[in-house]
Amino acid sequence: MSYSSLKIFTILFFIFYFGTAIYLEPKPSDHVFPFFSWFLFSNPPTKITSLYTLRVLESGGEKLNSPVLLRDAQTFVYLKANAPTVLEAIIERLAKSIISSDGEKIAALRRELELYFLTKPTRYEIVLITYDLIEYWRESKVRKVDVLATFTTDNLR
Amino acid sequence: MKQFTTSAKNFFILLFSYPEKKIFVDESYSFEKAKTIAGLFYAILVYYALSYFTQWSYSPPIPVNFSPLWPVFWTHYVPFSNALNIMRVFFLTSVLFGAYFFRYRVARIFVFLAFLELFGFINSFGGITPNIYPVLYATFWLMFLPDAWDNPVSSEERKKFLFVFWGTQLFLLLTYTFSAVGKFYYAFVDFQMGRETILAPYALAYYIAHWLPRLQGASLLGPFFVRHQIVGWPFMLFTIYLQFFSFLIAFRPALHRLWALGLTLFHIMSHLTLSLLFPESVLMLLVFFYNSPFYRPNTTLREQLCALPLFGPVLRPLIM
Repeated sequence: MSYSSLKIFTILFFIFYFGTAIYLEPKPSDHVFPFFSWFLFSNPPTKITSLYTLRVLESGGEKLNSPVLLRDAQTFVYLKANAPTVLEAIIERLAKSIISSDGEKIAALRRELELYFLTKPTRYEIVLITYDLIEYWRESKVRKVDVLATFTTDNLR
Repeated sequence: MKQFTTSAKNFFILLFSYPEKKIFVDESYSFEKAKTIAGLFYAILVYYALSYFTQWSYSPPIPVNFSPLWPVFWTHYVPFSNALNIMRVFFLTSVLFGAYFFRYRVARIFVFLAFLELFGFINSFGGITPNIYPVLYATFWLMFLPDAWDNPVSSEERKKFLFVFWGTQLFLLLTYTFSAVGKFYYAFVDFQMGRETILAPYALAYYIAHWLPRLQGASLLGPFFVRHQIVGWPFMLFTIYLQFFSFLIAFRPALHRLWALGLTLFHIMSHLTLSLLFPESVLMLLVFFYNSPFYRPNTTLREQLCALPLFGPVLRPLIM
């Protein structure tokens, strides 16, 4: 390849790579490896926000005084390194399956959640919380909790 | 119209020949240095591979959400644990091969394929892990290095070698620029819709308060920036400045080292506030920019300050 051809190839490749990445940007589900737009942390969260999460009611045979949200449940939920995003994805998919009443998916996702993250016998809820970011940060205060479902791990039954 | 066409043509000719006229000024010096750095890069990848090995030994990936991407389609046909072992062996042998035979393109192609496999595998669990991509980009571009390791080397070959090296630098810097472009784009969209934008004084605090509790995370400076929201603003604006002008730095060798230091500090701050670390990006900055072959060792701090985007023209009359 001559020097001029190398330059032209480089320019065309840059246009192709970043053009494709930006084209795919609005549809993360259509992400084509290894294209990536690098639009990271581009729009901040709104002050009042909602999140699907998990709430522990009972762990290791002991009923808790009050339900504990995932963010404060380090003692009850086993979170190995690099796994938080995996756990969050499972909870979100589980919540959506509950909303759409997809029994097969619910069972599969519960199996993953309970096998890898809830190592102790646990009774827990999948909830949608609405909260003020700063209040939640400071004191775990949430403005609204919608319970989608309550489950018990097999080893507690 | 004819004058416009001629001017446009001249502009593109100037742009096309810019690297050799303005960046590869000291061609022999840059060439020798680029060769050393390329060899060093392939040696460092062995260390990188070994650190991955340690992680895998004690903490194998959780096989949930596993949906193989195209580079690892073959994992469908073998048990998960076997696929892991095949990947490990291929990865380690390829990077070792690359470290020893980096002068041969076939070895560099194997290294690229090994990273393509590994990163394809890591991204097959439902999420996107872009922080590891820069290493893949570098292994991709360095495949194109010409066979110009032993003297005598013609000027054309030297230029090709330097252009591939510089192209790698430009590609790495463009990732930061696109990150800033995304921020400006969404700031415009959010502003139009009356929502908070990334340019707001409290944006960093919101990110921290949103991100850390969700993942049971903690960071050293996160609580401070949530309590004192306004303090985070200059950091955010400075980050956007650093990111946006990154592509321009490829064309200003005097700033290669200073900018890489700035971007490294940005990555360290991301870790201290959001508990997010991009070690691969820092590694690429260290290898390709801290000792950039296009940076002239006698560059003064004054010259660097004058070359700064936006601030350079303001500072020039004050310090020259």
